[in-house]
Amino acid sequence: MRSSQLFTLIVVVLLIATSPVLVGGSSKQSGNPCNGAEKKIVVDKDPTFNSHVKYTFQFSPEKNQYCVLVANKGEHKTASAFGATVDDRTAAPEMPTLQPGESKFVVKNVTEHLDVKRDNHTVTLGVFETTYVYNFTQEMNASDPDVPAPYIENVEVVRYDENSSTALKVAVRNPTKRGYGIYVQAKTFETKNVDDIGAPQENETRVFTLPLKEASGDVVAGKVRVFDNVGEPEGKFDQKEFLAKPGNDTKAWDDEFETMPGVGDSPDYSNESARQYRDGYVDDDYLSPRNQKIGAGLTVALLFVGVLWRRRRR
Amino acid sequence: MKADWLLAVLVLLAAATTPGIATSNEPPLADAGLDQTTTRGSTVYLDGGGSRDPDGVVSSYEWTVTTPAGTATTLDCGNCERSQFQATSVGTYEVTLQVTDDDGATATDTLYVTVEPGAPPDASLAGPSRLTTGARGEFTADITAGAAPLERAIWYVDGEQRFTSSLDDSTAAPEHRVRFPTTGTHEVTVVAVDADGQRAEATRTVAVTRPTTPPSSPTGGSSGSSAETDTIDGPRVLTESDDLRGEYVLSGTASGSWHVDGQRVATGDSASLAFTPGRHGLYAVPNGGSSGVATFPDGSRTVVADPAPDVSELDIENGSIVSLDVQATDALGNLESLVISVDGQPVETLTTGNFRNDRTGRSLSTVKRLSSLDPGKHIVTVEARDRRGQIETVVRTVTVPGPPRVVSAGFVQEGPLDQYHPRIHESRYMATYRVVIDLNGVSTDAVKSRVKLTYTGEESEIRRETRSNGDILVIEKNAYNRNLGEIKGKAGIHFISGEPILTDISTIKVTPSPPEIRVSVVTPQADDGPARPGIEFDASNSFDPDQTKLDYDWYGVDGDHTEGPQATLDSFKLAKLELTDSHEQTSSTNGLLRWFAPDLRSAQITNRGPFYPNETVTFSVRSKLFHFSKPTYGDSVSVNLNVDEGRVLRKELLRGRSDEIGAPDAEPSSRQYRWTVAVPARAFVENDEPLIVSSYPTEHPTVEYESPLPEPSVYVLVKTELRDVATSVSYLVERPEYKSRTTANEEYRDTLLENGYDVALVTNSGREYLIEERVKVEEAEYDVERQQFRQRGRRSDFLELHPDWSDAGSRMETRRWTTTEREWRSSRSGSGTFTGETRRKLVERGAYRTQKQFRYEETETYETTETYEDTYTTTETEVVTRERCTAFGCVPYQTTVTETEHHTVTRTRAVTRTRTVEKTYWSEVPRDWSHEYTGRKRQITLREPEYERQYEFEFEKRHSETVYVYLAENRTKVEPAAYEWQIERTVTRRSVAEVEAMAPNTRIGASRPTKEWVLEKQVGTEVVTLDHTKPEWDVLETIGRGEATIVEQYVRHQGKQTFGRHTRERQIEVNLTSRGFLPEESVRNIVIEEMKPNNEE
Repeated sequence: MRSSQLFTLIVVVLLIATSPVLVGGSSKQSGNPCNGAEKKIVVDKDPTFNSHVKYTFQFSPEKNQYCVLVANKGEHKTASAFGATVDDRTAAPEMPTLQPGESKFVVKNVTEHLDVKRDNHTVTLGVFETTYVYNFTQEMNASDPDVPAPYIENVEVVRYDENSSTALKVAVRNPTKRGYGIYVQAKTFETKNVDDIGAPQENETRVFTLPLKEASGDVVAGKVRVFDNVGEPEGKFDQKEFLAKPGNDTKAWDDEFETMPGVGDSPDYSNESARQYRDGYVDDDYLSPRNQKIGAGLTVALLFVGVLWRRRRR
Repeated sequence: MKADWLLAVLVLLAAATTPGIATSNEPPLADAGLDQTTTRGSTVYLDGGGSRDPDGVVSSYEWTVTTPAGTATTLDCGNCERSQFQATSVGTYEVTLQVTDDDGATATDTLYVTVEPGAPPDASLAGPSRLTTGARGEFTADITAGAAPLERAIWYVDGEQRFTSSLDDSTAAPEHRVRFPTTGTHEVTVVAVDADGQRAEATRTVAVTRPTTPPSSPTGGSSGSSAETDTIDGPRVLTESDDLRGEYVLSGTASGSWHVDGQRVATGDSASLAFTPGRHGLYAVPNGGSSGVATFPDGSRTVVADPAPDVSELDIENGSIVSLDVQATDALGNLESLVISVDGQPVETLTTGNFRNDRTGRSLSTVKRLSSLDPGKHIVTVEARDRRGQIETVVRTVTVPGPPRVVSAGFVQEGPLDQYHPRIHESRYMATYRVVIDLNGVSTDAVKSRVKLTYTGEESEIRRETRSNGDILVIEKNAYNRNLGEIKGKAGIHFISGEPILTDISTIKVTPSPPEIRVSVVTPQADDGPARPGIEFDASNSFDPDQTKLDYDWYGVDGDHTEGPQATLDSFKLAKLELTDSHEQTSSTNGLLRWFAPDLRSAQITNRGPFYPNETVTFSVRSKLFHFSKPTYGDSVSVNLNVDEGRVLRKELLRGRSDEIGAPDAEPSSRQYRWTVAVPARAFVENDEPLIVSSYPTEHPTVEYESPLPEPSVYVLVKTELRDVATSVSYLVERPEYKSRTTANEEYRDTLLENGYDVALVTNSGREYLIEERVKVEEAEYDVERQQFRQRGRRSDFLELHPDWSDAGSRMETRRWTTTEREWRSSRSGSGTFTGETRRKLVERGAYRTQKQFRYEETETYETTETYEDTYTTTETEVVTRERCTAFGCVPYQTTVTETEHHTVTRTRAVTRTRTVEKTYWSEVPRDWSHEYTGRKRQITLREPEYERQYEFEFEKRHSETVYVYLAENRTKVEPAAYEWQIERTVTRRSVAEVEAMAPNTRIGASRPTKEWVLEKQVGTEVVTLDHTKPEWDVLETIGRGEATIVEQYVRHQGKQTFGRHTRERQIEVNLTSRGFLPEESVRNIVIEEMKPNNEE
């Protein structure tokens, strides 16, 4: 878990470092990251307004980057404008203001705009009715921490002593540049599938509250997952397991998102280690996958020692 | 002797009383008058009054005039006694008078009128007095016609004819340009010739030098003028600063007359002359001996009056672009340049000589547009300059409005918006970028705008709209996004040619939108039986504007919860539909009954056809029966028609059992709606599509249940004809209102004219006849010999001795003579001459009177004083203290001393006494007889005598004496009396004239038509309606009216079938009122056009 977060951080930092919006004069084209890509040119000339702007569009599917050179060929300061869509979402349009003779070079990485549920992607660049469409294929695993997609940021079991009930608060973070409609679904030993829906927009964290059937004094253990839609296997965003003892913070850890809800998935929660813990056998520290294995080994060894000891007493 | 007298008396009586002596007619004597000499252009007056008839009267005159060319000319009255004609040609006119007497005899007389040329033309010549060889000199003649029109001007240079120019006016200023190849003195002469061949000549002497030779002094050098000639001293060029006025002095001669352009304008030795702009000829004619005229010393007569140029027109149109319309003129025609400056900087310079401009130098004009002035005030200076350096400057201030200011810019909507979907209202997805600009006085045309929007959908054109009386310009542009994301907007505002104002970028979000629910009824609850199957709904028409797939969740339906687009309601549960899209956006509805609308049955026509197109067809539209689980459940249903003309007249909800719907006491378990719908019959003809009525839930009009309307039987118009068309046009006009007067009296007519009337009409009202009376205008002439006598008797004696003499009466004669008299005068004044003698003259004697002295005695009492002595005695006793001294000392003792004195005093006292006194007095008579004359006399002077000094004057004294002189005369008639027919009065009736003419010495002189004048004067205006108008009237309204019979032929249609023809006639009336004037023909055409059936409302 921690290593994966660290890795994600590194990836994000690298992305930020390598995909800035390069702004500069036309001489900077020597460092054009879209070099080699086909150039599409649109000239916007308005004699009434005495404006003349030339747009040169390029898209590099290898780097998920588009490059636009906007040059003011007119005699006046002017406002340029071009549009871009990525997988049917408007992707950060630019409106550089240019002095006469000035040009700006706009480079933008579209990765954060890509729809992670799709493998075939479309980027559109253009001015007015003149648009250029770039189609490319990029398989994306929504559960892959390297792929920007909604993920569970925090899980917390809330206890209501007044009516002896509990609920699960799930904070879902959408770190991308596009909104996603999501299901948040949880199940515990006492609670069968309970879900909520929402649509966290770009860079938004939204908290979902799911009512649980456990009493306020119960140990609550379960699984929570975030996905696009029931039965859509491409939309598996994130899954965590969690355990909460009364009086302690909720502990949660990543879990592999294997089965998509609605596709042969059981509404019941089953985790033997968690059950034993709930029943008072083991400490929760051992409920993590590595500790579970150690714990299982220790349990087997303990059982083995106990059997030997009873046999000696006989 | 007595017999001779008697014979003479008898002869005289016979001559006086015999009315006529039968003799042969004597012809009249014609007298046309004496020959005349006149000048061309004059009026020649003719008088045939000298004609006479020895034995009657001259009854008619007839004048004939033959011109020098042999043609006849007209007279103003050819058969009048007096007449006249214009002598327009030089030569001899032959004028013949033929007179006819009352016996018809005629006689002629001819006079000759010699017409000589009139005033000759006048010419002066202006031009340079010095030139260099090869240089071109421009000489301008100033020629004024005399009596005859100008014909030509002949130019001579050094006596050699060079050029002839035709002249055809009364004044002319021909020009001639000359180059002199050689140095020396040259002469340029112009000779003006008029139609009579009269000439006027003007010469200009030019001193020609080499080009390198410096110009000689203006005052020095030789000139063509001789030393003896008088000259004019004064300015030759007058400018604006002189007010075009100059002071001129005639040198050498005391006085003369001053002439400008041939007209005498002043006299004297000097003159202050004002000139109109241009070149003028000035000379003076000295009085006395000088034979020539005085010119400037060099012989020139030219004075140039050169006013400053005039900026005659300067129209400035303020605005973002300042438009200047400038014209400068120069009356002399020497305009040189026109400079337009703004804030001191020239922006336009025009000069004469430029091909595009007036090369004559009379005017320069231009239209200049200044499009790059900064907002604010600017000074526009227009300066016109002539070749003499005179400048006219006009300064104006112009205000250039602006600059415009962006008050606000951004999206009108707060957002977020939905992405575009054709089934949602555009207000949900349309972004409007609005820029509000304070124009600051700038016209909208001067502001260009551009709005840039980033989008992936459609974008509208820019809309521009002014508000707040044109102070605010609002620019808007719409756009929407077909994708989620955002729309950014930015605008650029251009003003004139400066840098554009760019607004900040505004952003509006486009976010996912929840699903749109559309629910329709599949099966209504058909009965209220025990099973009560609920209404079956279908929500499959629902959609997600984000175009994602929807999940349907029905709650409270039959089976409690179901998924999928369709569900049947449970009669006893509250149902809910919830839709979820792929963005996990949800929409739900609880009131499913508000989605309910019943299907419709076939509609029925309720009124009988067939229908004309303008009639209305009404339908009864019923819904199908439906039930609700509870009677309290309500619904809200409406109907709609797919034609705009249709409308719902009535809506009824019918309740009852299924078979007794509408029964008044039926159990309200089943429901049914009934609508009454009206549709114009023409809608069935004009619409290709079938007309449909549809029911829909009032809250959700997108869900409709349709039913076609049955086709009625409709007449379709196939032919129309207008018959009995009648049109009329009238005008409501405001026209002048006149007061009118009619008169045949010229004097009254003139009075009316002076009072503002104008002659509107002159007509011949009849004839008037001149009644003439024979009037003695000259007495007969006699040679009279007279003798005068002092006494009457002497004359009587004389007459007795001289019977051919007669008593000529007497006359009083006054003899006057003068004597020289002398007289003394008390003052040295008055007429006459003082002789030097003086005297003292008593002018009033003195007055004296002699008085005698009388005496008498009188006792009188008087007061006096008398003296007397008074004696008296006084005694004084005194006690004296003394000392008695002894050896022993002194002893005081007292003694008494008594002293007696006797006194005598003289005193006076007043006493009254009487005495007798003698009195005397002077008087002419005693006052009392007892008074005694003393014998003394005296003379007293009452008034002193007066003397004065007198002066002797000598003067002439006139005397007259009146005496009677008795006359005798002997008369010999040498000339008979002269008579003349004079107009006594005019009458307008022939019969009256003839009666008048019967009077002695009276005749009808002539008859002439009489005139009658109709005079009008505008007193105001009136507004009237007339069937005509005039261009000068103000037409307020044009009123057209038309009536006609429309004959319409219809074919009856029902569905797609056509039936027989049907004809209908109806009357139509059209009234047209239009402001202002429309031509009558146009109005009639419009009225007829309006009456045509297609144009009926």
